Amino acid sequence: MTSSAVLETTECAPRSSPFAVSQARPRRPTLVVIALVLVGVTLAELLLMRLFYRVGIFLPKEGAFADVYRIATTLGSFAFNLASILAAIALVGVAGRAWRAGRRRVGVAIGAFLVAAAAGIATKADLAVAVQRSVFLVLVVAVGFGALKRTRGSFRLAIAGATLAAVASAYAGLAADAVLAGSGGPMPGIAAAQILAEWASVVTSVLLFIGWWREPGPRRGPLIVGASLAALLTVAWLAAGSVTGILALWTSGLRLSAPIVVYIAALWCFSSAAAGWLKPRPWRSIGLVLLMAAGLLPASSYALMLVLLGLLFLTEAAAVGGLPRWGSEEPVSA
Amino acid sequence: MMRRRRAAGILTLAMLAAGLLTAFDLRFASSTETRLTASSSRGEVPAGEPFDDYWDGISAVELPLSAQKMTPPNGGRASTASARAVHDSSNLYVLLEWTDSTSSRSAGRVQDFTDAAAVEFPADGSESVPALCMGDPTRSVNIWQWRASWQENLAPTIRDQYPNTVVDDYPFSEDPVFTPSRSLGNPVAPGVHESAVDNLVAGGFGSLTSDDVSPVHGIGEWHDGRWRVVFTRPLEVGREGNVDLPVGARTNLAFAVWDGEAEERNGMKSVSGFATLSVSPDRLPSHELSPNVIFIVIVILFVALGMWMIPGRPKGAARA
Repeated sequence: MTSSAVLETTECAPRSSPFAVSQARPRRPTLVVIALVLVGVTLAELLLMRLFYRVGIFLPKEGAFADVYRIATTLGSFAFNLASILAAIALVGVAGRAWRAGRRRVGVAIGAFLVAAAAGIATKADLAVAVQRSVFLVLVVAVGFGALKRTRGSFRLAIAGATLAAVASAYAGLAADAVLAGSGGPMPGIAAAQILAEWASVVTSVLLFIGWWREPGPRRGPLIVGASLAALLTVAWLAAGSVTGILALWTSGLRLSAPIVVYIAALWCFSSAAAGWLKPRPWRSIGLVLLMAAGLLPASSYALMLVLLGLLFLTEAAAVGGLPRWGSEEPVSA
Repeated sequence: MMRRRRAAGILTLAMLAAGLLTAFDLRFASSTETRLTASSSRGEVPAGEPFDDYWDGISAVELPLSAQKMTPPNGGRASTASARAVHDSSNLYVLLEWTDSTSSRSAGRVQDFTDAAAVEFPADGSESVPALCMGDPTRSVNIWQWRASWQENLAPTIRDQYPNTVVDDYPFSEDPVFTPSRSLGNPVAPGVHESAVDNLVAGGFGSLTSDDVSPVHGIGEWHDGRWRVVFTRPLEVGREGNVDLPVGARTNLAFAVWDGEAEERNGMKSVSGFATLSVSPDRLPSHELSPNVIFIVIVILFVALGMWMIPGRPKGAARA
């Protein structure tokens, strides 16, 4: 069932919106519901933890601000925990679908990734963390490059770029782990891998934009959404460049090694594509939001889970058993 | 209906679990953190020789630095420093390294400013992350600030600054009546410092205080555009406001550096975010094998495994 269905998951899908599967309100599969909630909670975590909490570290907390800070960071901590749990549940759901679709090795690998992540948290052992990141690397290669066979055009290149960014970022994380474990010296190419991941992300954004421009075609709304976010970044940069730079590093892992105009353009492309695919290809939109929220932060098992889910959703899990339609358990292209 | 109940049940359980984790301050996944591990040294630590080969055998952690913009006077720049840490069961040694094209070692003239570096800890030695800039009123911080000029002052060099200076005999140079700042204990008064490191405590802006006792020592060396400074302090000092770091402790630490050539002083500095310091009972690993080669082989094997997991295209299926 799945193999033939998966083949059509990307470019040849019907243009009609998955939201309009039937006239009645569609019953959304559990994985869809979890993914939707995960997106909201992840963005809340991004705002409250990675932004507000980290900026707040620099501020003296007295009086009313201390109360606001405590409440906001508690909510952010809750959002972080909830997002972590939902990401794990979503991965289990995808693993289950992969298993049922005959992709048992992928299902086992996702299970191993989650077990290693849990072991890393519980024991804080470098070995568990290294295993987790190694399995992550395996999965990224399997999910990303595996989907290349089922896509074409600029979207195919975009998936390759996103996968390359994830692999390079994962290498940097692995190499950093090896250094922390006392390998006796700096690993080769950590900084180069981070820069490569950053540039791959920028190029991928443009390719995604081209892919969206070709199918389903440009619309004004998504372009305005993208332009608004790009304008926000521009204003922030002009107002306080160094603060914006360090916030970009903290929230997304971007070093902003190229001129800022490159990142402004990339953000416009990326967010336009994410907004543009919301109706015709909602899994892609969710995948892009999760990839953006994950950033290039290879030192966090939370970010690794988001990257993995982002790639799975972006490719509609084409290589590992497919994702359900928005309103039914059938695979997207069935 | 069954599907909706299942989704609602999963979400409810997830929220309950997240609430419990939050209440008990636990984490289901690791967030981003920079970890600096101080392992137990296998031999004597060359605390007075920052460029000794010994330090290259200790894992370095990269620390992004940014300009201090939270309170005036603002200053600093975006750059990168690296840190290493080790202990010998008695003392903690923290080596900070950063690039600086010039070596500013003297503040002897009014137009001179010294290169400097600092390490900051929550005073209670916890992972509570107080405000980075001088801590909170309820959560104070302990700061060790090394100054190149203080290190130079260990051997006074005023004549190096003004080699043609002619000083008449001054009979009261040691009389406290004629050196009020020194006699009142002003920590920045010119003079010979017992240590190049100022041991400071703070609980918010404007509260920075130099502790009477400085159990911290520091030696810095500048070489080929890089500063390396080794901070040395007993793991435990049992003194209020001073962080205790027994073996097994985990706490936060942050760094700051000042570029004297750029006239940086006080709040004009480059700062890092908080990293996590772990004082580990484990010994530094020996390097008889080449772990890097083994590591690269493992990565290649895992990538090959990933390629093997990619399912092939079924026969007769056309590319979409």
